[in-house]
Amino acid sequence: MNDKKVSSIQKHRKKKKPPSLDDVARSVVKTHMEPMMSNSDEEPRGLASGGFELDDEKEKNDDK
Amino acid sequence: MIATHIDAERRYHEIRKSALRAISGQVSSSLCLGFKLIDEKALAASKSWEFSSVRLVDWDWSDGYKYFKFRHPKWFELALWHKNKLVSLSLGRPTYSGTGLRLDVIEGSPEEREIKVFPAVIAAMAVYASALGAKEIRVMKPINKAVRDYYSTQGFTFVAKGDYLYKKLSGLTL
Repeated sequence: MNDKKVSSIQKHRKKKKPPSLDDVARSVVKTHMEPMMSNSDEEPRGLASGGFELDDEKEKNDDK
Repeated sequence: MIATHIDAERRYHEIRKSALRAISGQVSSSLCLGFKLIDEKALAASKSWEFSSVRLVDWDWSDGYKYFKFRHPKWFELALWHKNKLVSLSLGRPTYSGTGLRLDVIEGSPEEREIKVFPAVIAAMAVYASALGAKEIRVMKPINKAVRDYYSTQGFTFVAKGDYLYKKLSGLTL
């Protein structure tokens, strides 16, 4: 019984600990950035998105 | 500017710096990439884009950047350099609910680029998003179909209603 409790607390503590920024960075570089930068998909030269024209009401709706 | 705004700016400035430091530390030096905050040098370099005949937008980054960061104290920013050449500028901010981080403005240098910029921008955003506790990244208003399709190849899903693409943070990390 007590062992169970301890193990459950340990599990809970393990879950609670957020990854460090270095851990996240390492992971995203290996999982996403490096594979995507080296694959054969071409990036459009005129790469652009969004813009500076801001409209609060529209942004609120966008975020829903 | 009120005190709470200044406090927030200071706090998030530190988080932005930490996020860029973390990503810089994990990227191979052989890629010759520089993940920096937007500064006068970057804004001055972006001026040369205005003379490009292949540029698809007419954004003034100096004015736009100033205005954007004033309005959004938790903003994300990145000046991406490759071999000491500015290859991309980007700006974003958390969604209203705070569960996502939006990429509101991104532009790749219209000049010939040796590298892809989007995966590097997304990687930097993912680290900042994680620091803020956001769960997804949104790329707002792709400029055309080619760009939108390119984002889709990177695992982003298009939402026509809001004209954006999104990807869960869990899909970007292990």
